[in-house]
Amino acid sequence: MIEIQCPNCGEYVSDELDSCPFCYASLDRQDKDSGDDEKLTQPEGEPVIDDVADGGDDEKESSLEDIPAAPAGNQPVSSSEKEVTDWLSGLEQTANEEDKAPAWLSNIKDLVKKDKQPETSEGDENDWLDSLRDGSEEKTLDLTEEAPDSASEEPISQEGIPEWMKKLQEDVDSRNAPSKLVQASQPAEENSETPDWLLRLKAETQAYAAAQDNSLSAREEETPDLTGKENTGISGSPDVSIQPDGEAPDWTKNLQAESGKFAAEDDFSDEGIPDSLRKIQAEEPASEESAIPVEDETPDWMKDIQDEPLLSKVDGAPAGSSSTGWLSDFREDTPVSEEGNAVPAEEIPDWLKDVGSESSSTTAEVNQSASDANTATEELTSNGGEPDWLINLKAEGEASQQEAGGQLKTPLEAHQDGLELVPGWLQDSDKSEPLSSEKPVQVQDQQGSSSDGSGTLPSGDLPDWLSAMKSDAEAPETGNKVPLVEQRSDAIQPADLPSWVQAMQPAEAIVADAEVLTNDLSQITENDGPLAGLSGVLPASPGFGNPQKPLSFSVKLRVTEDQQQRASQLDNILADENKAKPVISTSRNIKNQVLRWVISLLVILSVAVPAFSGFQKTPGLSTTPPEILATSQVIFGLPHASPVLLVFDYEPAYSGELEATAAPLVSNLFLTGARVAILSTSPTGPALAEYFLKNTQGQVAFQGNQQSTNLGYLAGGASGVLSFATNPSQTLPNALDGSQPWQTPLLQDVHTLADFAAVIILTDNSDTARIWVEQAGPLLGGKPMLMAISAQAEPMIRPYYESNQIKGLVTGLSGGKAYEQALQLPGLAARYWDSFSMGLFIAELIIILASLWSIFSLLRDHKPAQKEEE
Amino acid sequence: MLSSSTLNLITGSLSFIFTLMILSYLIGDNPLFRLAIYIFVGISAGYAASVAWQHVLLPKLFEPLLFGTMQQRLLLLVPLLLGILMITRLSPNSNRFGDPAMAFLVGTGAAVAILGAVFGTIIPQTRASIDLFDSSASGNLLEHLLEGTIFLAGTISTLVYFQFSSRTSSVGSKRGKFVMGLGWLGKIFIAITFGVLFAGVFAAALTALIERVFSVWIFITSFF
Repeated sequence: MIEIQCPNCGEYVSDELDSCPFCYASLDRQDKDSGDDEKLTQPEGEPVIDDVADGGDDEKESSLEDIPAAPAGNQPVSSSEKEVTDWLSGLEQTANEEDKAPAWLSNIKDLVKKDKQPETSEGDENDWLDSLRDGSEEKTLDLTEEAPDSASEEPISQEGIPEWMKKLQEDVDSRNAPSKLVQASQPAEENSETPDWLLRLKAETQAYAAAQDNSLSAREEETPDLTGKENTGISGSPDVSIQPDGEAPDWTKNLQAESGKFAAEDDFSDEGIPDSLRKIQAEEPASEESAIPVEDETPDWMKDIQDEPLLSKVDGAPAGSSSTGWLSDFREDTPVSEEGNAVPAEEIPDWLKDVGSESSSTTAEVNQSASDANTATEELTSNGGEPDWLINLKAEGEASQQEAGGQLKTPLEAHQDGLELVPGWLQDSDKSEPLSSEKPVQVQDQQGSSSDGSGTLPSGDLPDWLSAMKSDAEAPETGNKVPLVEQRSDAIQPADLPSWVQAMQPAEAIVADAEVLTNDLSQITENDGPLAGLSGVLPASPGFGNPQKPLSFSVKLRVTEDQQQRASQLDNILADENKAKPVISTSRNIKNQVLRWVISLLVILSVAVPAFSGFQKTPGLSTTPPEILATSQVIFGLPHASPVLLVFDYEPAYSGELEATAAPLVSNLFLTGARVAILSTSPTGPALAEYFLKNTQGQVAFQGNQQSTNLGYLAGGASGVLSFATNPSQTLPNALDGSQPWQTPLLQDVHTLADFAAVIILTDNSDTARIWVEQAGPLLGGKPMLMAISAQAEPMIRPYYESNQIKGLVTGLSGGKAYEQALQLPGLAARYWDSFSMGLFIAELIIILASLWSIFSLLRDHKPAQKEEE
Repeated sequence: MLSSSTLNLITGSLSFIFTLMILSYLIGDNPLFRLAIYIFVGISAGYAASVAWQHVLLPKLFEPLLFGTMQQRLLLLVPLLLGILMITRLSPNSNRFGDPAMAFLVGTGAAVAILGAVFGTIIPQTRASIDLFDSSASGNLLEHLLEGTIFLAGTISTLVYFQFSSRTSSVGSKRGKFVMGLGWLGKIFIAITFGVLFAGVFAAALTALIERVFSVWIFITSFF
């Protein structure tokens, strides 16, 4: 069939039509011509054959393992081949649907679908109508698709069409003509019951069918259109194809007629049919009666049973359905041929013959149960789509509640009532073991009890547990009232409880247990299903005795290429984290160490050589700094024997510098005859003061305790300075030696800080100098404050000199040298001056050379960078 | 009692040894250098503690408490209590009891420092900077103006350099060109200041080295 796409609604319609049956838009011939190419296209949303071939799902593959590969690539691509892929895609979709449900239930679903198809809602109208147009071909194919487990192969040709198919064609042909007549003679009735759109659709369909006959006859060598319209739910199962005329609607009859025509007219050549189709069609005769694949869901021990040449006498009973009784549902749902395939008597096993001879009514009952099952299947659509087993389950639950204390039948009674599904071995056991209706019947395994429903099995072939089940199941058929619990040799005997334990047992529990056992379980009779007629069967419940194997899901990890790249990047990052970082070369450290040694050696030599030589080659300062002149003026301006406060606030590390710096100043001070009071805000200050006076003032007329007193350590920092500035005698009442200097002639006239003629600060710390300036300066009352400081403190202290807060300033060795020059009294500064000058020169030289080397290195590194940039 | 010559020999030897131990840092951190450092730190701390006890606690606290008048004793109870509370800060469990003493110290110290900074540094320094532009001042007026200009530029540019706030625009937060120029000038003044500081530190260290070299030389030559 050639389809074109409607330019208005987009639906695929036959190219034979002049107008679209969906939207009634006219179809141009040009569009139809162009649609010839579109007939090879596949409708959107349908899976392609590649999905089937590359499917990763194991179950999908297993379900499609019988499907051969597509025709060889060297063959010319025809529309039939494309159509083959279509129906394969439909198979794949069917397989997907089967994957979602248990295998045994999938067949029931198929039946339900087939039954529900005519009642498809309006929303699915287009789908089933599309499938209806291809119904003839699909039905023929569906007949083959329903038999995947068949073993025999027959080529599908005009001569090789199976006999059942020929009969089916004849049957359809015979129905086609009267159906058309009926359809033509009953338009008024249909108009009253059928909506207009459906009538129009039917007319279009009929017109299409008529045109299709011509087109199909013209394309005898082509394979039928096997597009996967079976997904819409219309599958050519025997149930649908053999519906009586009175039950099928007219349009369905047309489809049947088309199917018959197609089957009669189309010639299936070997070249145009894929192997899979051939295989399926060849299997169809054998699977006609057993379209349900139960092989996978059958336990091993049941497969052994199936291997035996069992055959039911029941019409339409599948050959492989003799395994278990619970599979009788499937057997009942299995499409049954119209004439019923009678199995030859020689193929019937002996045990089955015994069953048939012993109970002639068994066949009728099974037929009745099969018909009931079919009826139940047909009624499924009216039950809201619920499967039969679910409805029965609900019914069982309700029945068990209602019948718990009511009139229930024992299995024996049910057996006598005509439900003779009980196997023969169970019936035999009835004779030997009486069944008691007073006590509950031992609950049997559902599977085990029903597996022998069609006959007995040798005990040696059965597993132990099944043998035990058999012995248990023999009890109900004996007809006696003896409970099975008592009859079993391995039954658990009630324990011999001591009397005192029995006395402790609550009476309510005994009564309740007795009631439950006697009323509930023993009087429940199974109404439906393979266990129909058996009492004492536990009501089925979800999760109870599910014989199906669990669904298997694919565990194959599907990773895209992008995800793989990202994962590899993450791996690389984690690998880099674990890598050891390269150790910095020690050659650079050695270079620095050597450089430091060289510089140190140069500085030490520059200092030591002048010191060891004893020659003073370096000339003195040409000019005296103004702060030195100011300082000397202040010292020389002091009154004779005036009190002066001398503060030693430097650390021992700077004693060498401060001694050289302050020695000429202090000498000048003592030369003026000043009375000196010494103190320190540093704990080490008093000792340094003693050391200073001893080492530096030996050459002057220093009179020791008669000219100076050491007040010791002034604690408290700035607060202590402020306190001393406010009240010196109370802050430091005692001298370092324990004497009271404020009472001595040295300081007896000093009561406040302003009473000192001058305050001289010897410090290496700018903060200490600032504290004295800030705390003591305002309290000096205009008296001068002089400072002899370290060279490192000059930048911070000089502003106080510039602001005139400090009247004089001697800074570092150079300041001491200048003061000595001013006094013309050489001292430590003059001794250190050559070394100091040489050391500064070497230091300046090193700084200059290092700066040039840095510039050279910068230029050297900059050129390669420019070259790289270029 | 050791003689002065013996003491001089001992002190001279110790000073020579410790000087070499300290100079051994030229070859890197070594145990001799660490030993000398630890000894100096320990001796300094011990000497400071002894001085604090000998010159502060004993004559100014405990002796008046023991031998002073009642008034002196009552007055000295306050510093004694504060001193005890300060000891409680040695333990983390009882350090909260030393908070009052610490608060007293910090409060008085801050008050003294702020008062001294305002009246001893800020106001006098500001006045001195302004006086540089005083035309009535003695000396060369041009030299004063030049010095004052450099002072003013250095002060303002250094303060601007530490001004990091800026206006937010669509482009982003960025200081103005004028502010950036002044900041750049202030950076130059700061660099010069650090250079001067380094020169002073080097001069002080060099003088100390000279003193040590002379000391070693004197110690060595004293044996000959």
